[in-house]
Amino acid sequence: MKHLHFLNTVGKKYTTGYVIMGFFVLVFLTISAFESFYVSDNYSRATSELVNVNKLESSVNSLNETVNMAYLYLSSEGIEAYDGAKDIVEKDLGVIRLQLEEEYIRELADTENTVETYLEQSSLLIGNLQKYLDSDRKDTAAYVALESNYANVQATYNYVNQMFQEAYTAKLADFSELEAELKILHRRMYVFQAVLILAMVIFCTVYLYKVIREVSASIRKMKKGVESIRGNVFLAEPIKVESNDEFEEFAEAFNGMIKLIQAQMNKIKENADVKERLAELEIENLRIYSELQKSHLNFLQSRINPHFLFNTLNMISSLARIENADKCADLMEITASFLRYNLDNISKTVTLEKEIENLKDYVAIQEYRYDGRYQYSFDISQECLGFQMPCMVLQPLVENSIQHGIAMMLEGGHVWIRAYGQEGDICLEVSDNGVGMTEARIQEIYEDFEKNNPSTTHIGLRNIYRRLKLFYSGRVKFQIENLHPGLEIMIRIYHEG
Amino acid sequence: MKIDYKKILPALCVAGAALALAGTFLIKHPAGTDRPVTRVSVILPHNDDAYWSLVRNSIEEADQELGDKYNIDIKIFVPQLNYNIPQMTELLRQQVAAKVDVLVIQGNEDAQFRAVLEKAHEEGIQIICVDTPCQDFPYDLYVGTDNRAAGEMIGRELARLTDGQADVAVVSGEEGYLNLEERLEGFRDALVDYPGIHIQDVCYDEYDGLTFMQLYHDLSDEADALVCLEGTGGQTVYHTYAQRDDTYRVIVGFDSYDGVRSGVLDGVVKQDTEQMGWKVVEEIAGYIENGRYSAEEIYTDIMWLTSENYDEVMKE
Repeated sequence: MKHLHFLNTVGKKYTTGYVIMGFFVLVFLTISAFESFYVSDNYSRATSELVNVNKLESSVNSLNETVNMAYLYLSSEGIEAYDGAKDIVEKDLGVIRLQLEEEYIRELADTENTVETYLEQSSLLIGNLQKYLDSDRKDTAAYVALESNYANVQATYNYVNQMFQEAYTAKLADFSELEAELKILHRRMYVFQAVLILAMVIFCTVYLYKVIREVSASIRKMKKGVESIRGNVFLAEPIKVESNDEFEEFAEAFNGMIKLIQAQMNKIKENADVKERLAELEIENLRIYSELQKSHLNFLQSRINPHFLFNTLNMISSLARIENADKCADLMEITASFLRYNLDNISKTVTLEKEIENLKDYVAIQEYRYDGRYQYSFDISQECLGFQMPCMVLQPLVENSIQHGIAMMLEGGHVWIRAYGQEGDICLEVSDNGVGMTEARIQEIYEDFEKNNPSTTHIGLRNIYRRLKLFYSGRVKFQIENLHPGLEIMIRIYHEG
Repeated sequence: MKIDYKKILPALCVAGAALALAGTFLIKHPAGTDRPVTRVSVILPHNDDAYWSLVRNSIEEADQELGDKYNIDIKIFVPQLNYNIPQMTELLRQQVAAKVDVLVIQGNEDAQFRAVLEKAHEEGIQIICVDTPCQDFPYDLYVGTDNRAAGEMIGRELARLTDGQADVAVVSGEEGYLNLEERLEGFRDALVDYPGIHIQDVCYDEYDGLTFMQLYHDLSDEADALVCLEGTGGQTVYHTYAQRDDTYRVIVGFDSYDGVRSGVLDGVVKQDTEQMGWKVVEEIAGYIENGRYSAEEIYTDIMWLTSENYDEVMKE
């Protein structure tokens, strides 16, 4: 819906309504004034015309009195007065002529012409009379001619009087016709004014009703919009007002404000989530750190004077060599190497190559221990040898395979150690063909990995998992799988990034 | 609901303009014309119900039709007494004093009437004779019947009705009226061919019904056929007798249509009164337009009306 551009405020809309009303009132008043002027003008004109006719009649009567005085009594005063009276008649006649130019009436035109004839005849009479009176010898023929002139003048004077009566009758008829016309005009004006007022009432009512309704609808929509944000700002509905006024501007501003509030709230919420996650991680870190400290403490407690033990082992190895007990000497040296690795690198990062060397020391010790009952296979990819990792990760896994997997086997026990790259990731696998593990058990191990208070079993596996997760910032997958027979533990360290 | 201001405001403007226009139309504006008013005074001899009233009606009808267009103002005067010459002369004098532009009169030979008419002519007033011209008078226009032809027609028809054998009494209106004299001359000329028809007497009823009835009875002693050379006679017979009277073998006249329809009269010369009135006004309009009349004498139609052809002729 299009709106007029300039009606862009409620004030202008109301003002337009009042201007419309004013327009109707102006038309009403103008028409009324015009009618009043027209009526009074017509009445005034009609009255004035009658007065003019009456003036002419009076002046003609006066003139005829001078004619009578001059002719009947041969009065020089009458002759002298004639010219003055004639001037008055001519002046009044001029007024009647103007009147006739404005509105022609046959009877009045006849009267005017008859008066003219009267003036001509009376002038002739007075002229002849003057000549007669001025002449020394009173001629009979002139006297007879004067008589005839006078008879003509008086006959015409009678016609003039008749004409005046007819003119009055015509004027009065005209007057009553005018009155009838004005009555009709009055009636039409009443109807017109009634229609005008009715039109004004209907138009203004409809217009103002629409304006009020529009304003009211805008307020309702805004109220609804305001109410919708009371419970939850995110449930707030945008206010749709298309009234092309302040309400529309206000609604747009309100909608903008709601969007801004919602955006701010979202940001606050996101920040809160981040903070919560950070707090959780902080707690987790603290816990892991605590556990590490605890583990480290435990480890240190287990290192009962390790250097003393290490020196002792070297001394025993030397003694064994002296006494030709080479196997014992070798075992002592391997054990010493294994312990040295443990002592030197427990809190360091080592390469996979170092870890594998240490693991081989451990395997060698185990071979001595179990007298070659079990076999160990290493399949280490060259590209993985430089891979950095925490120490003592693979050894516990191999120890676990021996103790819980193949320890009960008299022969045929086999442990496989593999390291290889896959899709940029590093995979470390320790598998055996031992007794394996139940799925419930595997599940229990997995669950223990995430618990803060795990069961007392499988602490080694859980420690390895936690250490790797901490070391690689969670980029670790620890997978335990039954091989039927045997068990495979695969650690996948995802490529960073 | 939205307010469509683009529709409302133009509608308001149109409504306002319409209201203002309607308001101005409520005021009556006088109609105007560029031509000066031509004041015409028609002095008819009387206002009977069969002839002059028809002439008057046709003049008024033509005035309605042409008056506004040519700004003609026609005023019709009738003397209080039918065919009263002094009254008509007085009316004429009054109109001459009023300096009217055109006088329409039925011509007559009265000396005083003619004197006033001559004065009017001298003062430049146009004089139109209707029905009857003025003998040896320089009237400007004659509109009416060719009265000699009308007299011949009534003579021929009388001869036909009487088989050429009749003693005829003629009643005319007033002596000296040119139209009546011309009719009489035409009537006499027609009877030249019928030696069996004899005119016993020619009398004048002065356009008076009582006088006519007196003559009606007096003349019956010497005549068996009656010829009324003007309308009063036929009308009087019609009003006096409800049906055909046996006083005369044949009665013929002028313009008494009801007399023919009722069978009281054997036939009448029907003058075209409507044409007369219309022609008078048309010629005045033509004079205003062109400064001259179409001819000096304009003859209107005449027809022989009987009970047999009544419907046919009257329809025309």
